[in-house]
Amino acid sequence: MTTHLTQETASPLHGLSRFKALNESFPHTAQILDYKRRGKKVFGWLCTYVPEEIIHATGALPIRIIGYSHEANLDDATAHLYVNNCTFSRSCLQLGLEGQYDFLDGVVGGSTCDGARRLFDIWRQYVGTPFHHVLTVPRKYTERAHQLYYHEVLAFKHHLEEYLGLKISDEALRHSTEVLNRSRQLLKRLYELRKREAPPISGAETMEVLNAAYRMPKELFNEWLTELLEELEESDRQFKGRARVMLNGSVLTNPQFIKSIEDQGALVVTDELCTSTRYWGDEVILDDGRPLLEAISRRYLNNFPCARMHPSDERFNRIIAFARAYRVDGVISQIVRYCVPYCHDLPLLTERLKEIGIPTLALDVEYGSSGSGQVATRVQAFLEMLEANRR
Amino acid sequence: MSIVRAERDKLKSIIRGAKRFARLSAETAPERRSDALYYRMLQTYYERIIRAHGEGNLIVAHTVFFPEEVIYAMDMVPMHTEATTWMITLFTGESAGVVSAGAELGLASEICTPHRGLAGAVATGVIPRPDVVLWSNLVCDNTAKSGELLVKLTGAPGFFLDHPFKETPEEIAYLAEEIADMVRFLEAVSGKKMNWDRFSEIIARMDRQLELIREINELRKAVPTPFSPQGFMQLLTADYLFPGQPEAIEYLTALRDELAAMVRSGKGAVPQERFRLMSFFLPPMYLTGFFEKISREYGAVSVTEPFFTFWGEGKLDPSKPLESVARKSYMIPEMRMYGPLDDRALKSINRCARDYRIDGAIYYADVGCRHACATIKLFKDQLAEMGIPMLTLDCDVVDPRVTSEDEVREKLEQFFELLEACRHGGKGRTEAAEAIGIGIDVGSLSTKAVIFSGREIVAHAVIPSENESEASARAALDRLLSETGLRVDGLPIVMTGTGGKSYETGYGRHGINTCLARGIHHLYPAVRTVIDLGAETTAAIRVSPEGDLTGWENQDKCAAGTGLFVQQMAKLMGVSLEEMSALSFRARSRAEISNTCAVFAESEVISHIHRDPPTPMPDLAAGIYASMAGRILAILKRIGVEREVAIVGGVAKNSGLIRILEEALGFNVIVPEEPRIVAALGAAIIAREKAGGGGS
Repeated sequence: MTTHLTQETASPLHGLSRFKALNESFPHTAQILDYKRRGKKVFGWLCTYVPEEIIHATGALPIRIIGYSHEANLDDATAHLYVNNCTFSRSCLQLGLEGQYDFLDGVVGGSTCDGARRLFDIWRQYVGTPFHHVLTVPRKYTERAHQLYYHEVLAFKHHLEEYLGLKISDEALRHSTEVLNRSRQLLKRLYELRKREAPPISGAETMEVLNAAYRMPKELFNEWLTELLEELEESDRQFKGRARVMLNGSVLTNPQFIKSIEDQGALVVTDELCTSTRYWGDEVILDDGRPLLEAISRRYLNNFPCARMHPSDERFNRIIAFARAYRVDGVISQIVRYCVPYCHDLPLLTERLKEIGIPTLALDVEYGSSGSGQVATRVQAFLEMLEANRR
Repeated sequence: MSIVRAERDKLKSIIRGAKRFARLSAETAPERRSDALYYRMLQTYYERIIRAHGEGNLIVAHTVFFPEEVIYAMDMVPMHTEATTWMITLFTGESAGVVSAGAELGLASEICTPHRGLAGAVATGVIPRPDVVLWSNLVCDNTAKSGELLVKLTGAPGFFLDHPFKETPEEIAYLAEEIADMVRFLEAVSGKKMNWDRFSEIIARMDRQLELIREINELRKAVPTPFSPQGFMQLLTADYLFPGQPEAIEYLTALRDELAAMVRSGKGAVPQERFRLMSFFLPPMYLTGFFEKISREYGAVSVTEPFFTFWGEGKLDPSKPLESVARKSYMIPEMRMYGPLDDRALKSINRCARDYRIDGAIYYADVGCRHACATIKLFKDQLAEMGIPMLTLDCDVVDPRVTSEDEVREKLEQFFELLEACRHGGKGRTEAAEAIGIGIDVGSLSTKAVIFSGREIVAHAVIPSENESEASARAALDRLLSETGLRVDGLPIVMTGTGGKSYETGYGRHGINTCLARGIHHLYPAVRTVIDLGAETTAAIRVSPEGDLTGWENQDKCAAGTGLFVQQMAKLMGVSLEEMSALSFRARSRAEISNTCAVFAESEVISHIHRDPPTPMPDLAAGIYASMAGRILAILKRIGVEREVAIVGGVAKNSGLIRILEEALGFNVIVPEEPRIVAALGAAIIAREKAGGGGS
């Protein structure tokens, strides 16, 4: 077993500790409270198919709604969503019912998966957020689907404008797109660093950066991430591991889970999650002849697919490209219990990866799990197998 | 994934079953032509599938709420995936086999049984392999993803129909264009051309079909209702399997005429209609016969199903078949539940409740159906605003291992009692002077009996239960009588409890929760919420100021918080229950027991005992109680807490648990001196009333 830098012994990064500190207060952050104090609005969005640019262009702060980063008591949410809905939807609703998302002026969702759909429905009835909007999101990538989704994005824009009593100018929308594109570029650069044989940042640390992205103004995020990237490029940090692993599957926001895997000696060099690469995925393509709003809506529908999209090959092909680019030895697929689209995809994806010589470890988890006990044992065994494969 | 040939042909079994039912119906109720027509329809449907390949036809598998008018129009043979699994269950009683086969394919348990079953059936070859697979995302992620698996299993060409979400002109147009794409796809794979004239005819008939369904729905409003208690399942099948087909028109016309005749003569479907019910989702298929039986027994009828049979308004234009079939899709009752759950969807519940004059509602909470179960509390609250109670029945539409007939019977009986009490409230109860009542509560571990004089408990007994409930009841009675010297002859005895079925007394049985409510009301009239911590189950009930049961929630799938759980914990710690309770008072802090599941909590406790240094026993006891208190609080959250709160059942004697529970609640609770006999007391009270000639 090669020795590796554990996260405790890696030299601290000022840029990273800033993000971590911000994540400590959840779900509100100092920035969110500041926005509210200045009389500005904060809108929560639920899925990667909600166009953040639209919210941003109104001057409001877009916040991603996520749940507790630990296995919390979800009794109130369970009473509403029932025991057989995923712990992600229940965890988010729990926070909503407890009043922890009371700072939200609005909630925006999409007709994405059953869990998200019902979370939105029940939230609307039982949590007193003033503004609600849900976008229809087609499941295909056809021209027709793009047109429908564009229509939905436009309707969302109009609804927001009406509610806030303003008009989103083209300049504002352009500016917001550029800001968010910058975030995507910076995150891409961050991920590129992990392609190295010995990356300077771990999977768990990367998740801290992403978590912060969801609850701070993107302008400030871009500043902080730029500084962190500079720090990383100059640092001599090196993470080594027993095998290079891609983590994928259902929604995941707990860095502790990733750390549990990395503590076993895995190098989580990349991930395919809706809270990581499926989020920042593609940039909005500007200036190629399309009107801006159309460019935005195209980007969102074509973005790194959620398992709900059809055909599933689109997602599989992208995952395989990732696996190759990051020279991944194995894939760890964590599926939240009752996460139907992802558990359906799993056997088919596992076969595709097997065809190119990449084994998969499937983990049955609850959202918020920190990955102790059983997970550690199974990851251990998986890593041993990957090491044997390499020999 | 390979396909293995098997000998039993499920479709032939379905056909045989349908034939048998048709014959039976013709013999027992020849005036009900519609029944015979219905079973003949099913026969034809499956015979067509069996003959398909021999006749050079293509079998087209499709998911639920699908525009199979298209399949009929192109003269291909549709096979409804979910319905076929239901039919296998209904007519062969052998769903477990195909569901297991599905599991063997490696299909996750998150995939609902209708889909797992169908995949299993296809994989094992007990139904013919489809030649084409069509599926859509209506109504959930399961249907949206099921097609890819079937395509993989069969190697057949497949098409996914993307069904949008909201009812807007753009989305209806999108759907129509998707369907047009699907037509092109079917033309390409079959070499056949769409017959547009036939398509238009089908649409015209579909329009007629919807008219007939609306007429039938109107007729069902009559009091008493003319349509059989579970008849809505037939209406649903007509929709699912025969849209725009002549046999469906024939069936619905015959049915409409029969119902109209019954309404004219004031006849009801059941001899004495007592409870008019609203149904949500589907009752377990394998209990269909049982539901019919129990419905008639109690005079309970399902008169409305807002999201299954209550079709929206709108006419279909045969000259525009693609657009019409898309519009029709949005008129499907279930679309109201799939599309954003807005006020319009919720108001349809109120409308139906009023128009159909319902007394109560039943939600068949299928464990595999996530998007449905998420609406349980919402609908319950919606109905509660109208003062209408709703029963939630955990079940699985196809898998009989999830819940048993006995469990369902108990819950239904309790619910009907509750509905009856809601009707009469605390009025009309007479007190019989001098009369003595006896109540016997037969539980899984212990049997409790009480003699009540009208003012006080004369005697009570708690003995271990025997294997047979009749023996338990007799033993308890004997104990009581030997103590008091009373003779049993002529004394009114009411039975309750899980085992209270078989021992017949002249005064019958009552639901355990009804008895609990009456019992606690006598002891502490201020109590509004009761938690029953039994040996194997935990329940929470709500009591009205008059002592009537107004609602309850069960926790019978989970052991945590029960007597067996705390006994097991005490055993692990090597102490008695009393010692464990005493220990907890000395706790400095509480051991963290993070797992809510009893099975995993056990291993946590073991690790607490064996770690180095071991967790102090007082802290461990307190931690276990805290975990139990957490489970109790979870049930309370579902039913809502109103003070005063009483704790009953054997586990209530754990003073350590009670203390920790009170801390968690933030107020004191009432624990009767003998907390195990409250339900038996309630039964005795009811027995007295019955003897006095009045009462519930």
